Amino acid sequence: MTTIDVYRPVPTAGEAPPQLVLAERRSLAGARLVIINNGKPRTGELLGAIAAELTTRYSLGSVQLFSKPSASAPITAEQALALATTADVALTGLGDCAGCSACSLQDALIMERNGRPATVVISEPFQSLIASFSSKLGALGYPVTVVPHPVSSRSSDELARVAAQVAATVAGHLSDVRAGVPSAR
Amino acid sequence: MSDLLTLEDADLQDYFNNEGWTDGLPVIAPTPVRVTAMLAGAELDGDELLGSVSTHGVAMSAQHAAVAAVMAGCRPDYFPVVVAALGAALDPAFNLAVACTSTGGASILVIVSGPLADEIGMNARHNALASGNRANATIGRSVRLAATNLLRTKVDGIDGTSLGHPGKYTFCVAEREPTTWTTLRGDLGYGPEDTTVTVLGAAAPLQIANHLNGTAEGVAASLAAAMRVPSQFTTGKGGAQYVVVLGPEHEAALAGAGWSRRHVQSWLRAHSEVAARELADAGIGLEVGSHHSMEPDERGMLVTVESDEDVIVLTAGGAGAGWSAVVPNWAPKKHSSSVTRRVRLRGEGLPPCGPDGCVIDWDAMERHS
Repeated sequence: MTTIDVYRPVPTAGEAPPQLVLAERRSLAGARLVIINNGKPRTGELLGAIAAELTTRYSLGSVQLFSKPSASAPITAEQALALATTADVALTGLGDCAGCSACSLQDALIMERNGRPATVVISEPFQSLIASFSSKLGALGYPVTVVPHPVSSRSSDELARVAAQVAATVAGHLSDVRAGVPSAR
Repeated sequence: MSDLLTLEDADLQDYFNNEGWTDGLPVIAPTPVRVTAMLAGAELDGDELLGSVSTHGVAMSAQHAAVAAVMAGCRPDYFPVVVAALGAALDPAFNLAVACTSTGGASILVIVSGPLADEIGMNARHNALASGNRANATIGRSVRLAATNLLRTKVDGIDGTSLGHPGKYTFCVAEREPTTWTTLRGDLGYGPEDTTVTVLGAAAPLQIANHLNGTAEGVAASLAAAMRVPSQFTTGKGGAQYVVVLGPEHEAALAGAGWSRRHVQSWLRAHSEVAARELADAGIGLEVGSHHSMEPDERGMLVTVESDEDVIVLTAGGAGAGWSAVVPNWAPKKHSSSVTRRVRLRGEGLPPCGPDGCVIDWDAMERHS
C-alpha cells in the first residue's frame, strides 16, 4: 500500500471556543422585554402573542419591538449594546429557514454576551441545524423555543394557541422561574 | 492554515467523502506538491488572506483556496480566476454564510468576462452553461468546495437546503465577446484588457425558447416573462437580480434592432413588474409586515427588479436556434447581492483589503469566534 500526505481541506480544528456563560436569569415580573423580529412573515404576530402571554402570566414591565431590515444578518454590536440598555430580556426569531435561524440564534447569543437573557424561537425542522450551530459558536445546548412548522400559513387563532403553548417554555428560558410557575421578583 | 494528514492512497476518496469534505464526486488528492503548484499559478503565498466570514469567525487563506482548487481538478493557470471569484464571494454584500446554508439552495454562479477566459480555454459557445469544459467545470467547483469547506457546512450539518439544484456542484459561465455590443466588464467600468469575475447566489436557470419571433420586442418579452414567474421566490419583492444569458440569435435580434445593452437592461427591468393578481392566481400570497416589501402600487403592480444594474446581460452559447437563459438570484438582494472583482494576473499580487479587495472585519471576527 502507498501512503500520501494531503492537506485537510477544512479549517484546522483549534481549541473549542469557550462555552458561553449565559446571562443571569431573574424574575420576569416588571422586566422589559425586547422582541428582535427578523421580518419573516407572521413573526411579529407570533412573537407579539408570546409577549402578550408573558405579560399576562408573569407581569412583564414592558414590551419593545426591534425590527431587523433583513433576516439574513445578525444584529450589530452597536444595536445589541443599545438594546441592552433599554431591555432586560430578549425574544428573537423567527427561525423557520436555515439562514434566518442561524442569524436569529446569533441575535440571542449576542444579547446573552451583553448580559441579557434571551431565547430564539425556531420551527421544528431546524432543531438539529441550530444545535450544531450553537455548538460551533460555543453555546452547546443553548435552550431554544421550538414551535410547530410552518408558521407563515397559520391563522391568527392558531398562532395564538401556539403562543399559549410555548409561553411557559419561553419564561423558563428567560428567567429563574420553573416552567409554568411564576416567581416573585 | 490547513494541516497535513497521511492516508493510504486507496483510501483517499472514501476518507474525504466520509469526513464531509467533498461534493460527492471524486476529488484529486491535495498533496503539498499540487497545492504549491496551484499557489504558484497566481503567485500567492499560502498565508495570504482572501477574505472572511465574520459571523462564523473564519478567514480564508490562499492555501485553503488552493487545496479546494486541487481537489476540484483545476489547472494552476485557472487559479487567478478562482481567487477573484472567492474574493467576490467573501465580500459581505454576498453574504456567503447564508448563501451556503439557506433552505433556498443557492448555487454560486461565477461569470467570467475578459481575455483570460479564452487564454485558459474556457468555453463560451455550445454548452456554455453545461458540461464538457475543464476550466468552466473546475473553476465553479473550486469556488463551491472552498466555500462549503471553509464554513464546514457539510461537516457540521448546517446547510439547510431543502432541494437545491445541480448548479451546487459547479456553475460557471464565460462571456462570449459580443459582436456589436460593449462587454459586460466594459459596462461595469473595466477596461477591455481586464478580466472580471461576477458572482451571484443563484437559483436554477430557466431556459428560454423563442424560435419564431425575430423582433427585439418579441425576444425581450419572452425573457421578461421568465423574470416575473409568480412562484419564483424573488418575484414581486423588489430585490431580484437576474443574469440574462443571451444566445447569439437573440443577441443579434436585439442588437440588430438598435437596442443597446443598457436599453435591454432597462426594458427587462420595467417589464419584470408583476400584477398582484397574477401572484394570487398562482396561489402566492403577498407578504405583509415582513422584511420584503410587497405592497402593490395604484395599478396593482409589484416591482420585481429595483434597478437596471440588477439585470446582468451577457452573451454566451452556440449558434443555432433561438435559446437564451435567465438565472434568478435565489433570494432578494438585501440577503445576498452580486459582487464583481477584477482578476489579478500572475505577479500582480492581491490588493490590500478595501473596496476592491478582501474585506475583513477583525472586530466582528473576534465577537463571533
